[in-house]
Amino acid sequence: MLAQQLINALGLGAVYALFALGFTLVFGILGVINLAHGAVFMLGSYCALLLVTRLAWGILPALAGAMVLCGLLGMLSDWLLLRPLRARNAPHLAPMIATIGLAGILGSIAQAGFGVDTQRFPPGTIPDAVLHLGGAEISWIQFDIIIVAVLLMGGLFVLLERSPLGRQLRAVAESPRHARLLGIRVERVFLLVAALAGALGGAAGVLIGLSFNAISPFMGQPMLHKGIAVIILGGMGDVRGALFGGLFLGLAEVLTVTWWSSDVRDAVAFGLLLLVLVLRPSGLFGRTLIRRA
Amino acid sequence: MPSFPARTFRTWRPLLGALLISTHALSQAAAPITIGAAEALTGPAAQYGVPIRQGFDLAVAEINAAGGVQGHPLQLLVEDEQGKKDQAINVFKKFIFRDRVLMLFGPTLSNSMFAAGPIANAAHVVAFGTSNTATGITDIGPWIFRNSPMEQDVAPVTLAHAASHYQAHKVAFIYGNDDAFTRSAYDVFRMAAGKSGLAVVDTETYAKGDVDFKAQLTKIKGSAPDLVICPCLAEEGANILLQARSLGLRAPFVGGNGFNSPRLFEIAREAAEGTVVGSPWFDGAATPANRKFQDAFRARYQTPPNQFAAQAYDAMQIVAEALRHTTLSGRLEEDRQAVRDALAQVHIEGATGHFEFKRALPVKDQPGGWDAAQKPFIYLVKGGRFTLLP
Amino acid sequence: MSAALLELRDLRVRYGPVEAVRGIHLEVREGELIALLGANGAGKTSVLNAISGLCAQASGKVLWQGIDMLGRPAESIFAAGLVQVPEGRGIFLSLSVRDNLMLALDARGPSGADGKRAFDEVLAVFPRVAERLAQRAGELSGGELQMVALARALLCRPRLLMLDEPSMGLAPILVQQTFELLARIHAEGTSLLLVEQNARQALAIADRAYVLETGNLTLSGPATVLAQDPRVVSAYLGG
Repeated sequence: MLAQQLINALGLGAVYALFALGFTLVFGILGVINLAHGAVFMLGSYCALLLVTRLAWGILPALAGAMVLCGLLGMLSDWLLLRPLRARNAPHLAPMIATIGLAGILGSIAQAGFGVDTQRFPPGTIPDAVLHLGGAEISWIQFDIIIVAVLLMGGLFVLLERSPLGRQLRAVAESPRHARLLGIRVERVFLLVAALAGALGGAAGVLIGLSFNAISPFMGQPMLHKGIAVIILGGMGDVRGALFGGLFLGLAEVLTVTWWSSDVRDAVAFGLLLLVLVLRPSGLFGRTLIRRA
Repeated sequence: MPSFPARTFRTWRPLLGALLISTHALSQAAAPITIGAAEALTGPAAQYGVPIRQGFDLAVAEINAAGGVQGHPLQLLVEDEQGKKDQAINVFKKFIFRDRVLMLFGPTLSNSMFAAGPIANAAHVVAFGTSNTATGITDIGPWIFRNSPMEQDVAPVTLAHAASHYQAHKVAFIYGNDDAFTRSAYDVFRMAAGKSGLAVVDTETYAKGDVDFKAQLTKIKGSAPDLVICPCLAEEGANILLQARSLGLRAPFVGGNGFNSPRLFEIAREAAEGTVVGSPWFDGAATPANRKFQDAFRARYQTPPNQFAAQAYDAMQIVAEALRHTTLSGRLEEDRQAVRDALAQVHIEGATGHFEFKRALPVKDQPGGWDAAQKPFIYLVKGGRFTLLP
Repeated sequence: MSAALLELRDLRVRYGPVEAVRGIHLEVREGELIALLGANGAGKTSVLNAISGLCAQASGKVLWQGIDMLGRPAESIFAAGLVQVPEGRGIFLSLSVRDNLMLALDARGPSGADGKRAFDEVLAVFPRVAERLAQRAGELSGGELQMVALARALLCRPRLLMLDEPSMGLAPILVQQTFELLARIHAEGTSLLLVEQNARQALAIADRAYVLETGNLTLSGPATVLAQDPRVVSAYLGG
């Protein structure tokens, strides 16, 4: 039973990590807590659902399609919402409040367009086979989510740490002003990051929609709470932090249920979060990111 | 010229008469009976609120097509309470004090009725719930009615049928502990399990919005129950069933009122097979009222009705029946009282079967409201649909 | 007399109601090292930021080889060869030294062997930087960061190199080194605009200088002349 619970924890942690990736990227580089990330995640799920059911696309092209559409949505939200606020040097909370507004609008659009019923991908979209590992069972989709989460995270890590673009992203993250003095087109970097985060959020939505059969206009909200916990835990703006923060939260939740009780699951998980914050205020991986003027 | 006025009068008399008659007729036809309905038309609870509204609209259309009640057409004002307590309170206040309706339907969720019901009760206006199944709703006061049977009446019957069908001795629970509806359903199932001597081997909870239940289900699997009792909503339930089966948990599930939706096996498919559910309505019940309701609903909305539509439809018929036995005075306070008195006496054969109210027991000497006195149907999911459990 | 490389005409910078720079005229000719002197808060940094395109509320003209650059985005001003090393050096402390330097090469676009050669040439000038390439910049000392900043600025191939208080926060020996390096860069043909509080050292290497006081230019002239001017001596050279 413990082996099964560890697999459950890994699957749940991968889901949290996947969601937190785009979330932490926007925070790290744009310095904005993007509370519309949950809505983008939700729309990603619906995009793929429509591509699969209406246009009869396979799930992989549909995943790519959803990532592209959510990437565009991310860009659009940066262009229309965050850029004007940056240009006017709006106070820190303004962009976050703006993303709350965006989340509300996208949520209402989804409710009007798709209805409030929970929907699922048609059965057979992915093989629903179950792998038996000793006494434990792992479904294909759980397995896929873990693989995709690791791949996306690895890809993002390589992009950030090993490519010229990543170098520029990190420079902008530290100081947009100094980056500008080196000829970096900071606004373009912001737009790109918003697109990347949107695409990652969309991918997370598709995978989670696939694995839990619960696509609804409301699926983003609870995920958002967990996502905030994960990026705080991992260190705000750190990609490895998203991975380990996600796994940590998944493990904490599952093991609390296993060894204690599901009644105290959230209390223990979020209690641990507080503990980590007290001991390491910048999170597991956080370098205290202080943005210079 | 004395003849002039007389001639003028003669010329005008028929016209004047026609005018008088027509305004009189107009005032007859233009005195609709106004009823307010506060239901969740957006938000997560809209999956119940929308069919409820459809049930109301269908019943009102039928009643008005047949000439209304004692010549008065029914006029239904519908407002969205979004499944939120504060919104339900706002809508109730608007209906009672601004629109001055005769009585109210709604709100959709038990949670909201606990919040808004006391307002109607204090204002001496009937609040009639068609979907509130939590225990204690009618303790709010004598102006609270519901035709949705309490989970506390349905659960013991459901559990007894399931236990004997599967010869079960050990049960496990999984439910959402942060929602009035599922909590209250859990409480009554828990009590029913205790009374019928079933051993509870594990109890697991989850929070609203959770989508991954594997940790809890793995633990339940480890406790090897004969039945898993899952007093939650159909869509969550379907998801729980799918995950349970993928983890190799094969025990049959028992659900409450929330499981009572075709969505259960539409989403869960074969994972839902063998699930036992109690319901106040059975689509296969071959009574004339039920047939008529389902045919009319399909014709109007091009989709089969669910339990919530059926209960809303019946609720409107119950009100119409009460109004047929009421003489309206035109004085709002008196009429509100008269409707309440008449409602308590109604007997009808509706889509959900024979219906009448029973008085809730007084709480601390305060008179209670009116609950449904109805026998539930017990279903077994078999072959991808609800069948009656013998 | 060669034509002006950079010419400021009636440059003004506002921060809300406060006018930090009040209509100044300044010229840098090809190959010159110009010092802009002044006390803290005189408006020196605002002048540099207006040239670099970082001030939203600047007016007047910033003529670069006769073309007005005011209002252009910072990256196109940078691309024209106007490179600024900001106050505090603008090193990204969370990045490695190598990444900090590579950012300058990125700005050139794909450069391949050309970039590699430039990289090696610059590192030959700064052997201490070459030793620390793999380290995170945050772990370096102030003097080392100064070297990284200068190395990076040179990799940007500046037509005009602007430095904001390069001597600030450095030990005297390092200040000496810094000014020697600047003189060497100047000697190799790069034009410089040096903003400094340290007037003595700046005047020692500059061709000409300007003195900025509360947003106005009060003095200007050849460095050797200004170094003798009693007003400069009493106010900036400590008697």
